[in-house]
Amino acid sequence: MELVAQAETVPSSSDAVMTAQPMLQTSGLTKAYAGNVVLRDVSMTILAGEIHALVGENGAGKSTWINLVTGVVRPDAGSISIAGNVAPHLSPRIAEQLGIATVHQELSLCPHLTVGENVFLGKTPTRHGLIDHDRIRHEAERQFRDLGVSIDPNALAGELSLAEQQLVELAKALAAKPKLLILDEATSALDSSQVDLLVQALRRLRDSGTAIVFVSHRMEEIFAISDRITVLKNGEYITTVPAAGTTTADLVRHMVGRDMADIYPPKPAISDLLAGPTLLSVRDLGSGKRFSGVSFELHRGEILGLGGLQGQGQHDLLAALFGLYGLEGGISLHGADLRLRGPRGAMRHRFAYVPEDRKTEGLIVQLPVRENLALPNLDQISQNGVLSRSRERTLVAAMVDKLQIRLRSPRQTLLRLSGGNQQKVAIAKWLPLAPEVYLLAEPTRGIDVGTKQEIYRLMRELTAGGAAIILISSDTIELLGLCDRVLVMYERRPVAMLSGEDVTEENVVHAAVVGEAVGGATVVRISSTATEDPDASVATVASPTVPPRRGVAGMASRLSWLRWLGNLPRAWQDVVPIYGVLLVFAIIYLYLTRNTFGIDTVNNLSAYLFPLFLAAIAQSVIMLTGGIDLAIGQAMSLATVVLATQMYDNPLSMAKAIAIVLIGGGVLGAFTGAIVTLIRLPAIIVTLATSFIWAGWALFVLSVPGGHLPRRFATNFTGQIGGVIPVTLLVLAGAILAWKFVKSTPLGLGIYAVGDNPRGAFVSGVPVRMSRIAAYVIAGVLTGLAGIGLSSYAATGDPLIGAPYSLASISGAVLGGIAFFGGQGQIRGTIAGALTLGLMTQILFISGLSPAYQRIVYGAVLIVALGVKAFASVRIEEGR
Amino acid sequence: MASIPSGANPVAQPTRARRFRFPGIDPVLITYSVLTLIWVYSLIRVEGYRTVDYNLFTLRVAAFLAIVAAGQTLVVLMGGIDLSVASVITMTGVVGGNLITQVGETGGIVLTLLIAAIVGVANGIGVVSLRLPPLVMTLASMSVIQGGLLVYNAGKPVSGQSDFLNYWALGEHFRVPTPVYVLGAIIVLTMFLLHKTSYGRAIYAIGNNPRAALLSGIPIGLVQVATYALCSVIAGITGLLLLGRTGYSSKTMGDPYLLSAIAAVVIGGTSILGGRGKVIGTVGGALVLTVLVNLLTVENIPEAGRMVIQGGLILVLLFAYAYTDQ
Repeated sequence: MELVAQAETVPSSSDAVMTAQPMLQTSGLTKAYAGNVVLRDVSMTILAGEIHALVGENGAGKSTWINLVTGVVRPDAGSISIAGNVAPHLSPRIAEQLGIATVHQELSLCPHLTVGENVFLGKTPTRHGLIDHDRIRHEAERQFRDLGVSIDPNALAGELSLAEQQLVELAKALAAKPKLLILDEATSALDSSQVDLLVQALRRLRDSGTAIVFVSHRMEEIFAISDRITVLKNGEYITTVPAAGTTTADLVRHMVGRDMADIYPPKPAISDLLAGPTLLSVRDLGSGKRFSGVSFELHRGEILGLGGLQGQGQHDLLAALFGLYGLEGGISLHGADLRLRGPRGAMRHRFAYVPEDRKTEGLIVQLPVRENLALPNLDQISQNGVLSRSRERTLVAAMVDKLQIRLRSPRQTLLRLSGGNQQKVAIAKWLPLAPEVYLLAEPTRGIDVGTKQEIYRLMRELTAGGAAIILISSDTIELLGLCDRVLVMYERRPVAMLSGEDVTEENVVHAAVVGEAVGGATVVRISSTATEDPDASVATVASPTVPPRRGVAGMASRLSWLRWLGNLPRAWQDVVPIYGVLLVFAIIYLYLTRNTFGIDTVNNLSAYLFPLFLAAIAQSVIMLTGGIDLAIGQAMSLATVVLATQMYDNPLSMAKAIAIVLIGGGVLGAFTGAIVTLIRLPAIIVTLATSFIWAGWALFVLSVPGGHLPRRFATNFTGQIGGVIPVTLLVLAGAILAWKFVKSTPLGLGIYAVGDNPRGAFVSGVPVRMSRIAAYVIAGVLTGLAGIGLSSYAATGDPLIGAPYSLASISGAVLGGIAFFGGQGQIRGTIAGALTLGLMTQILFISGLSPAYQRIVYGAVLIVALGVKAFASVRIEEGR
Repeated sequence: MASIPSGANPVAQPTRARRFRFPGIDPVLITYSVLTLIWVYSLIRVEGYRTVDYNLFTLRVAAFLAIVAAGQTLVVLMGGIDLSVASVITMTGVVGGNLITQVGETGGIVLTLLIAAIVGVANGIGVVSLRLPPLVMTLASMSVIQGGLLVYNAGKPVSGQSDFLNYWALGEHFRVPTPVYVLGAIIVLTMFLLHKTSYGRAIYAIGNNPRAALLSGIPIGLVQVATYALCSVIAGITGLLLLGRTGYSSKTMGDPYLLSAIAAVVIGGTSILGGRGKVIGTVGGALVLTVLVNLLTVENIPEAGRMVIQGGLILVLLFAYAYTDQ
């Protein structure tokens, strides 16, 4: 469009912009999801050396634009040029190579990696192929110093506060020394001092020629920082204006197309509301560390907003009111004390909850619309558990009609509906319950303007009918337009309650970023006879701010060992329990073998446990990426029969056979990994199928145990070096060292990252698919090694001998703390887990306990050990 | 909003791949097409298969598998898995045999199924309260049951004669083998539960998104425990039928059914991740497996080949189902 011509005349403090080069140009960019167009024909230009704000309501298309420009998704039409060159195919890696860095709204950090590792994820510095941890630490420290914050690069990202995490995400983008920096809601959790630091950093960047795109809801910030502002509305480009000379009102008018008064339904008189009946009364409400000190009276007909920076406990408060968290303090409904027990209990008291993320929490998108609408109302449409289709039809039709949900038929899958209609379903499904309290978290996120208005109108209809709404919105304008009162939270405590005329952007933002009320606004008082007097202007300073907890700080727990546990470095916390159990078993074992204990005992034990160790380690590597392999045992059987048929009694043949097994293991792993990753089939069933195939193949090679495995090989492998050190122990140590080596390469880091936060790893440029396949290949080689150990111990090839190892390897890994869904756990835990299992079996065997009791104890130990672990981790989480 | 999505969230589902899907093709269609193909091929290849009697016999054999697989389907639809079914089969065969001899037919059967239900409830509690992954929990309970059985009767075969069970395992009604009627009853029951009750809605909801189901007021704990219990009871029925077939039970009688039951579920088009699938598909899957194994045996393909072909078939069908509409 005409922007390039405009560029020359844009005023800026930097000389560079006078001869401004376009850094990024999008032309006719269009994107649709499932038939719904979210971005239509958007053309705009971002210049070097400018801070360019991108604004628009929820659902205007800003995030989609960012995803397109950073290569996270591909456009359906249109082109993107970077520094004058058209980029035909973008991916996060390519975008990064072209000099684009992003501070994502949905953080791309991996919670179980350190801050330093996160900052350089996808572009990890190496020295001789290994990760250069020193350089990571220095560079990360430097980034933080330049920013003006102090964050420990060795801390785990998951333990930081949300604000710190956003700052790490920022440092990560800056570390890439980008030519184009995009910030997507990067300040939503930052307080005013942190925002200042950010702004300074941005200005420095701009002056050195970087192009910056800044997406935010906060008008103040936008006008303070930006040079130019582009407005998107409903997926379309509206205009680009210089920041100087534009007012908020102008901007809002561009964003919504009309004056605010026309968008939001009129509010009832605040004095009438506050004089009316109280629905819900809350006194000094808290929930552990999530939030505390919340007191308010919710009146019929009222819309109460929860304001404040992101991550200050608002969402937790809403969830707690729906029974999802334990509550301390007083809460009463209609004057009677209330005990909320879970969502069902809340529903029985006529609470409704529309969570923030409709795709993953609010709705079940794979199911038809009809079933989504019916789900909270099953009691109403069924008799004694049996559904009545006719009642369902009537109910569904009523809901669709009431909210004017646009669809082809109620049997349609929810996925095909537009965001706005999906959200309508998320709200409509509660109507038959006739709720009195609606808890709405970001109810208009990602919806078009028209639907938004319908929802606003619905909200007022509901309140007019006697209900009350508690609302969270990160869009300040929306908060102001909708709410009768706003409770602002800061550091997980309320700091201001604004009513009626006091609900202004200035008051809300001030309370949010500074943490105290501007004089004249009421502050919530904590007293047992709390009554709200809207005319009182008591400026009480909020209680001293509590610094956000890092890790597991001391919590007064009845189980004091948990406190000790919590103070350990995080990496060891998870494995202490299993090492404890291991210690117990080791003592029992040593006692049982005290008379015969010697070098040979150790050797025998090592040779016996060797296959299990390696199988469990192999399984762990796969499970780290979120996968699983049910065929490890069968691959081990295959290895034994190959060895038994290929190995003859001369060194060359031995070497060859070993090589075949190791390389073959890698190949089989690559095969499995490719199917799981490239064709995207569930690992559990793919490996069930491959377990059949490997087992059949093994039977094919050798239908009965036998072969000609050289005696010499078997005895040597299970023997000792120098009569003292078991060969198997050495090989095991070698395998562990090899894994440590892999872990210290970018590949190894990628394997952890992919399991920890797959999307985050992807947008950081980690090669996700390759990492997963690599994990399977590594596991395959380890499995081959396990097979070698197994055949040596059995001194034969046996097509069925490995089968029990499939499930045993999973047990060992899980016992040792590898999280079932990936991203968590250390191999040292697996070693303990496998060792525990192995020792347990040995103990049961030596003690003469029949195989029967062995099985029982095996199962019981699994259940008890994992159950205790789950129990303990829930407790630790609660205390966080 | 700004937050780190947690990959280690025990409630998080692995994301289903988004890909192009052929609209309007139900996986069950594919299952039964494959079945028809294999069946017709076997009719052509093997003369002995062309009698009605032989096919009825095949139905009888398949029915045993289909029954336990139907129970497994319920659990898989819910997003779980039950590895303990094989040991439950063995347990109900062994314990049932003894109880029938000691307490009489009716009492014995009822008690046995009750014990199976208790196992299922234990599985459910482990999954719900202890937050154990279903794979691990049912693996552990499988081990405990196996051990318990060995303690119980030291691995000796148990004899338990029951005319009632004998009839339902070996009998005929209008030439149709009686196990087929049992299967029919179970199909009717499970289909009714899944499609006509709130409970069924809850199963599909939990299988697709347990968090959203919880937030819609579904009692996800109760539903899960009930489903694992139901699966175990149905496995128990299979065990009793197997007992009725020979009058004896052995400590390995359940073993072949574990992997086959899961394979039948998957071949029948039910997604192992939960939330999609039909019992009628599982029945088709059981038939496919039975007919296929018969064919391969008669063609003198050794066990090795049989296993490879079964594994390959699962992979191929998985691939096909991934591109169908569900």
